[in-house]
Amino acid sequence: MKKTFLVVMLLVLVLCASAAMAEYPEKSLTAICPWGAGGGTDSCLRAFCQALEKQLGQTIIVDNKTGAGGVTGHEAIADADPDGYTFGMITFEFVTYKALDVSDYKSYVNYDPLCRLNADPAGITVNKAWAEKNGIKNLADFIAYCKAHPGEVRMGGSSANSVWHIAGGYFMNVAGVELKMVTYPDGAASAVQAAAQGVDIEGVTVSLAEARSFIESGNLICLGLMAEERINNKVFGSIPTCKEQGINAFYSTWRGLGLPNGVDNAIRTKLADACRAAVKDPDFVQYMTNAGLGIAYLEAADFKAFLEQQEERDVPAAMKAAGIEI
Amino acid sequence: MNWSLLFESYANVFTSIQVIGMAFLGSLGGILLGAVPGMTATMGVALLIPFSFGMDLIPSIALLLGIYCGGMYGGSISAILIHAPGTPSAAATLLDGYPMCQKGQAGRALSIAMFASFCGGVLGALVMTFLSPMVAKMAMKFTSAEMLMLAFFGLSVIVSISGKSIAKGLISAFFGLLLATVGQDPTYGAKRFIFGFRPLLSGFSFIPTLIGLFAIAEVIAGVERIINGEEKQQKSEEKITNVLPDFSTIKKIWPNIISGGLIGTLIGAIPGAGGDIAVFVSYGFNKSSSKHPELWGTGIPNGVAATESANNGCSGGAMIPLLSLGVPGDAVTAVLLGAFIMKGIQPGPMMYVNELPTVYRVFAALMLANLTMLIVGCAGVRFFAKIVSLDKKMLYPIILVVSLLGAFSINKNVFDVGVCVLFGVIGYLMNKFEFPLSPILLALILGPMCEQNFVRFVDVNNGNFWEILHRPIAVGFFLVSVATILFSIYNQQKINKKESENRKKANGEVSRIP
Amino acid sequence: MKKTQTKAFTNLICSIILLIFEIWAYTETMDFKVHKRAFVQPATFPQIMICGMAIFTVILFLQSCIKLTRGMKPEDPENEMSASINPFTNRGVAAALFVIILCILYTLLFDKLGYVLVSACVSVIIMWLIGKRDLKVIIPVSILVPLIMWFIFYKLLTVNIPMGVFQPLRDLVDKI
Repeated sequence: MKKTFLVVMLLVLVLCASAAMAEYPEKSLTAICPWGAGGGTDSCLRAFCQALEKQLGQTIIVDNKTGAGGVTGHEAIADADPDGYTFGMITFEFVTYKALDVSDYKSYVNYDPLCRLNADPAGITVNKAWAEKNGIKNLADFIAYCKAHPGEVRMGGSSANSVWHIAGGYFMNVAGVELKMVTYPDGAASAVQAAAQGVDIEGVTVSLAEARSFIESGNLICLGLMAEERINNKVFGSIPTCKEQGINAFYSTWRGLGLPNGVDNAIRTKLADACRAAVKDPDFVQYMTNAGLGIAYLEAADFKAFLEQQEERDVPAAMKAAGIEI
Repeated sequence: MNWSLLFESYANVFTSIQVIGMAFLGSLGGILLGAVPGMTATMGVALLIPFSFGMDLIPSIALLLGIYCGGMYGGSISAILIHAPGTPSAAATLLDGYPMCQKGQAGRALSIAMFASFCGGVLGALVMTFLSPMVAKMAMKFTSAEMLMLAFFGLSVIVSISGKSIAKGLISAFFGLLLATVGQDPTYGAKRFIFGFRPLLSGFSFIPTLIGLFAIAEVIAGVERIINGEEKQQKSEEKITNVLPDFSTIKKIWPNIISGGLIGTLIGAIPGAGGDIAVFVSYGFNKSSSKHPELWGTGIPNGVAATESANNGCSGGAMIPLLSLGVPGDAVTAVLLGAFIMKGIQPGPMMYVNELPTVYRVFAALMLANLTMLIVGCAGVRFFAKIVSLDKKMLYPIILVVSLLGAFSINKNVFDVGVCVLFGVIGYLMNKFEFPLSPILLALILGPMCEQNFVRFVDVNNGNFWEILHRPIAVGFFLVSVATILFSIYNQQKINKKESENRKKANGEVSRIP
Repeated sequence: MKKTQTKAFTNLICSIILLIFEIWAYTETMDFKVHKRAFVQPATFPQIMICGMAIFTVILFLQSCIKLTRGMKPEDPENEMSASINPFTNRGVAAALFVIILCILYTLLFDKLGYVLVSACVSVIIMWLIGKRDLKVIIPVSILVPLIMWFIFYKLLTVNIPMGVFQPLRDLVDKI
């Protein structure tokens, strides 16, 4: 009697254990999004989750934990139960938290980076009428003009300490010029509108997707893209990179996935494999192309190194140059 | 204007079963979403975007526009029935809608709100169809100086919604403006009034604050009234024979509907200004131009009509800069922009050149969405009006738990539930001591807009504020605002005088009785 | 009626409390960061707002003083009895205070116990408090409303709401 009981118990235990190991994921997953529903990050994550669902065979619930400039959501990822059922999207703003001293989880070491999905380069985009008036045709002219008029050229980023605001500071460092950065708390769209109108600011340092409608209409002209290569599509294909014009500026916003520290290795590998496959999902690729977002996949180890470089070197220097006083 | 193409597009949209079905589905969902405090049209639109992946552009746009229009009207349902605006754009509807409900005219208020919403929406859609390029050109001109003065103009309305004591109204308004500065400052990111609460970095979230000030405060006050035996049970004696307002009412409210719809459309067209501002401006304007300003706020149909037509006019207005400039006018259109881009269409000046049939179909879809909203709304009026006849002793706790969940769901943050409760207490105390609540709300909406544009304007002009004299639109808005303030003060004194005469008469009659 | 019971007197007290609040808020703004390159400091806008509030508070203070010292006409709206906030003399206020305390507890327990449980408890307590004594109605309504709300938010709108002790319910719904 006792023996049978023991055997049954053992059997149950083994079954349970194997079930837990083999059948991850056995329930729905949660993806934390630190930004609001309907925004760029949110739609990117939702599109990716649809692709990932096909790989994992479970539904993924996108949980928008917003507030405090993304801090709440990023902290929620680090705080999550490391059972592999919760992951989240980490975005560029995360590497500024250390310098701004706004989060308890200041550094990338509090996270377990999974992969980077997307990167969109910033561009130096100016009002066309203003450029023509001052004889600016390319990036070299622009830099020369800025050197002749230090601190007079007004460029718009989006909100304070945001990725495009810091982009201006980065460019100032690389090109050795002084710009006046103007913040637009409502977001990049209003900065682009003001630049297209040519009042208040002369140009913007946002991504091309944000400025697209006015570049197409000819109100704005992009002088240089801060990327390694040109964007391969018919609208932006003619826009030169900064590198082509002799300025080694590489700056982009990025979005990636992260786990809380301490997730079981087998589960982690399974999730990483699923992500690798999901990035190639045709629906996801189609979505990203249409939305004007670039896919820039990085494996976990590379992503970690990338985060380290951003947090330790690039971003603090650019923030200092942008005049962000901490 | 290419008429044959326009007619063709309308015919195309209005005969497609799929598009009509989607618009119906959208309006139904939008009305229900809008009616729950804390669930907004933005959220609904954002959540449905992944579902519209597989659809063609026009059906998916019809679905999203249905939610947008339905949500605008839906917010007024809870504003009228339970004193909790379902969306920020319905915040001014409760000024007259809730008193109407208390007078036992809930069904009437709902049908007026629906009819005004429909008319406002149609007006917006018409302006969008015929005047888009003109309005877009105007909207483009709005940069920091103009936005600053637009915000100031919005604030000038405060005097007319202050109630009897202008001093108290302005204290509320400045308190609201002060609350709006909590969190990181918009220009430099400096921390202000944080006191170590990290969630406060982005300030008090607007919707939890709104729910707290109105819904939670009303629940607390309701409990007090019930215990003191002052609560009257509203019986639904009202027989809803006709779900649309009768002809004599329409005759009375049509000027408010027209002016509200136009104000809504124009303000909605300005990027960064939306329904929440338009409703107050429309309410203030219509109250000032009314022959009986003293009746406003006591539950008259004109008040409901003026605000509801304004917020639905906004939906048409906000589409103008979206389509013709590629600049979203508010949060919902920002999401819609994403929907267009996802289908490979970039809204903007080039869209009118390359994709004119699509543009016209979007116009038609907006018209259709308004129509389906009217039909769904008509069907719902009787049902919604029943809510007031529920036992108040059951209703208050239900409102409480539903509202607090709404406050939570905006940011998925328990801190916001706390904020909601805090403002519930503040709202309860302010009601007790007769400080008006609406100025706080308007100040919370306009405060950040006012500050950030002021700081930016001074910054880009290197500290010279008087540069603003070179901006004619801004100067115009400033003059109009000053005129509004002076006129409202004059109006309020007239109202107070009339009221005190009435009281004197009433007192006299009492003393005459031996 | 004594002068201290009129609305005018309450207004006077309110304005004094508000003045203290304004002074405190102004001293807080002194500690805000000063930006070297900024034309308008982060502290400027709040300070202007506090001053604006203070001006109208002083006006309210003076108005109330004048009304109290010179006496009021009977038809003056400020001459009415003011609302009570004393929970010891007014049972309604005591109940309101109790609801406020319940709401605070609700916030504190929201994450730990989950939405459905705290909501059901709060709603049962309030319904009982305001005189609904029919348990056969109270309990099902109190449990069903939060449960349905949770289901709508979770399933249709995919909004994740803390379930606390009811977490297995979520897993169950997922399986179905």
